[in-house]
Amino acid sequence: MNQKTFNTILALIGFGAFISGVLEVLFTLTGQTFQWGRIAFQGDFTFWRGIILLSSGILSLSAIYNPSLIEKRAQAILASFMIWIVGGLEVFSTILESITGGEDLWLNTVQGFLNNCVDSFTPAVILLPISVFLVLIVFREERKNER
Amino acid sequence: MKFDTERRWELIDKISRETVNYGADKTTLKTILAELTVKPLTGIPFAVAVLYGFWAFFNAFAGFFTDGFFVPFFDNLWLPWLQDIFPLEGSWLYYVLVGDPGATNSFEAFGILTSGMFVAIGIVLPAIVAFYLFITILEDSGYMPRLAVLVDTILHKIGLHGFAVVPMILSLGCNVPGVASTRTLETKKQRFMMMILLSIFIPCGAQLGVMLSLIPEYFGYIMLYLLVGFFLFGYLLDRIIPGKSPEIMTDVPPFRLPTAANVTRKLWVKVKGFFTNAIPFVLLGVGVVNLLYLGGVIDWLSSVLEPVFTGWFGIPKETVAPLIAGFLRKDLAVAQLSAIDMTGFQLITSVVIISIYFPCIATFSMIIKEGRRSGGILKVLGGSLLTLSTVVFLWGGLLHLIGMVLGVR
Repeated sequence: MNQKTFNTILALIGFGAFISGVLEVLFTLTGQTFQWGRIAFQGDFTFWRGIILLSSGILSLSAIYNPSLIEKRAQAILASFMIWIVGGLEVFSTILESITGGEDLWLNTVQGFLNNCVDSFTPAVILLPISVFLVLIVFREERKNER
Repeated sequence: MKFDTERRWELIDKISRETVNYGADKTTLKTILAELTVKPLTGIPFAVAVLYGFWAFFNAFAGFFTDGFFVPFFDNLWLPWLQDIFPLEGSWLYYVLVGDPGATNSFEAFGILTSGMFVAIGIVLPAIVAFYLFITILEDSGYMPRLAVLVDTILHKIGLHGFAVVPMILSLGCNVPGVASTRTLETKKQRFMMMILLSIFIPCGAQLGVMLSLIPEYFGYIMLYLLVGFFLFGYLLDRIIPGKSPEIMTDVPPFRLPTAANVTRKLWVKVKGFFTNAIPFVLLGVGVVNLLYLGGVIDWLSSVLEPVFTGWFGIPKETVAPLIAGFLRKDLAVAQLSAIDMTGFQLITSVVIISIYFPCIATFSMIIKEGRRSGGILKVLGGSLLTLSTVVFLWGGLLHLIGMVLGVR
C-alpha cells in the first residue's frame, strides 16, 4: 500500500476517533444524548469511552507526521487496539443483549435478534472495521519486511 | 584454589567469550508496541482502555447471565415451585429455608434456598467468571507486569511499589488470594500495609457484581470514595509504620497470545474454589441472619447500636442485619442493604461502611495466617483491629459529614 493511502486511512481513523471522543465527553458533561441516524452517543461509561477515543484519535493523528517510521506505525496500532476494545466490546454487549428475550421469552426470535443488533451503535463500532484493516496492513508489511 | 579479583574477572571474560553469542538487537513492531505500553504518555491511555474493557466485559457478561437467564429462572420457576412444595409454611424452618411466603421475587424472600441461592448462583457466579476470565487473559498476555511498571510511581507515594498492583487486582476478584499474594512484597511494613488496605478498601468481585447489578447508579461514587481512602490511609500508614519501602527491578516479558487451554484451566481452578469456599458461606450467612432475626438478636442489636448508626454514620438502624451478614459475605450484605428503605446517600454510606468496617471472615483468617510473615500474629492482629476501627469511624463518619455539608440526603 502506498504512503498516501495509508495516511488517508490513518487520518480517517484519527479524526473520527478524536471528534467522537470530544462529542462523547461533551454529551456526558452536559447530560445529553444524541442520535444521528443509527449512530448514537449514549450508553454506559460514556465519559471514559470518550476519553479513550479522544486519546486514540490523538495517537493516530500524531502518527501521520511520519508514518513510515516503525515507531509511528506502532503508535497507530496501539491507537487501533484502543478502538478495538471500545468498539469490540460494544458489539459483544449488543450481541449478548439481543440473544435474551426479555420477561416472557428465554431466547429472542431471529428477527428480534437482528433488529436489536442493528438498532443503534456508537461511532467506535464504525471505526472498528477500518482500524482492523489498518492493523492487518501494517502487520502484513512488517512480515514482508522481515523476509 | 583461590583467585584474586583480577584473576576472577579474567576467568569470567574467558567463560563468556566461549559461551555467549552476541547479535544485533533488532527493533520490531512488537518490541516497540511493548515499549509503548509502559511509557506514561501512551501507556496510561492504553491502561484506561484496558480497565474500560474490563468493566464493559464484566457488565455485558454478568448482565447477560444474571438478567437474561437467572432472574427469570429464580423468580418465575424456582421461587413459586419452592413456595408450592415446601411444607410447614409459617414454621421457623420455612422462614429460614424459604423465607417470606408472600415474596414475589427470590431476592426479597430472604431464605437460604431462595435469596441465598439467587445471590450465590444468579448474581455472584457470573460476576466471578467474568472477572477471572478477563484477569487470566491479562495475566497470560503479559500485560500485568506492564501495569505494575506504569503504577509504580503512584504507589511509591504510599510506600509501596508497582508490583503491589497484583494483590490489588487479585483482591478485586477475592480478598483471600489478594492477601495471600502480599507475601511477594519485600518488607514486613509493605506486607502489613497492603493486607490492611486491601481488606478495607478493595471490594471483592462478588461485592462488585452485586453493586453493579443492584445499585449501578451509585457504583462510581462508592468506588471513588474507597479509592481515595486507599491512597489517603496508605499515605498515613506509610508515615506511621516504621520500616523500609525498597525499589524494585522487574523483567517485562514480551506480549503473547493467551492459549485457550491455559485460560480454561486457570478459570476452572478459580471457579471451583468459588463453589467450595464461597457458596457455603453465602448460604450460611442467610441462615445465621434469619436465625438471629427469629431469636430477636437483630432487633436488640439495632436498638443498642442505633445512636452510632443514625448519629455518627447517618444510616438507618436496620442496617445491623446486613452488617452481621457481612462478616460472612460482603456481597450478601450489599444485596440485603439494597432491600432496605433508605435515601440514595444513606445507601452509598451503608455500602461504604459494609466495605470498610471489617473484612469477611475468610479474609480475616488469611490476614491472621499471613501475619506470621509480617511481624507476628499478635502484632498484625492488634494493628489490623486498631486500623480497622479508626478507619471505619473516621472514613464512615466523614462521609456523613460530607452529606450534611452538601445538604445531600
